[in-house]
Amino acid sequence: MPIVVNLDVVMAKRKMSSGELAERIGITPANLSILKNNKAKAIRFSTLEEICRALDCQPADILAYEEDE
Amino acid sequence: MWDNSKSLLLTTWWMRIAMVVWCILGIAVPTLFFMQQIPFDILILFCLLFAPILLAFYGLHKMLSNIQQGLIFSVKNTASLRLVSWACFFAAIFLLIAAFKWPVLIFASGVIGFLGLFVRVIKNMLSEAIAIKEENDFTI
Repeated sequence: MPIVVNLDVVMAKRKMSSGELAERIGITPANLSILKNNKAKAIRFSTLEEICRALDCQPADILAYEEDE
Repeated sequence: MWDNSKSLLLTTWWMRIAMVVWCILGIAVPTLFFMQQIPFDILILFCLLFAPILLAFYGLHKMLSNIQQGLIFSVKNTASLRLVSWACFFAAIFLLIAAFKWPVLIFASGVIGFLGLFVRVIKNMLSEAIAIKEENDFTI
């Protein structure tokens, strides 16, 4: 999928662990792992909103478009 | 009280009984031929129909065991339905050929062919349902 989730980069910048982020945004660590590993097929606006709030960032900081090779 | 698990159990037993009856016929028909009770062309038609019908039974039985294990939206079920539909199509073709000798079999061929088509449509629907469920499961 050409949409890449750069959640781990932003998390590293904010020095936030997966468990803490999962708890803050109200999703399970398993679902956060799916998101971090680019296995997700879609992301809800409500989840994106919570992530942006928790990490104090913009959606563009998390999502990027990369052409498939 | 009647519930889904009892219904599933009843279907499984019906399926097993039908498979056993078909296997008994698989022994009885050649035996009757060797006892000169049935003509050779009936034996040939039965032998041609035996494998596809048995494969269809196998596919349905496998699907039932998948359902019992809770595997509903699974590619295994799609594969089973594909097997059943192809088995029906082959049986319909053999019956259509036999209809040149026994014209009444054209109705049986039509019914089994339609059944194959019906199972194929269900298979296509299940494939789409699996894709939708996967997308839903991976929506965070």
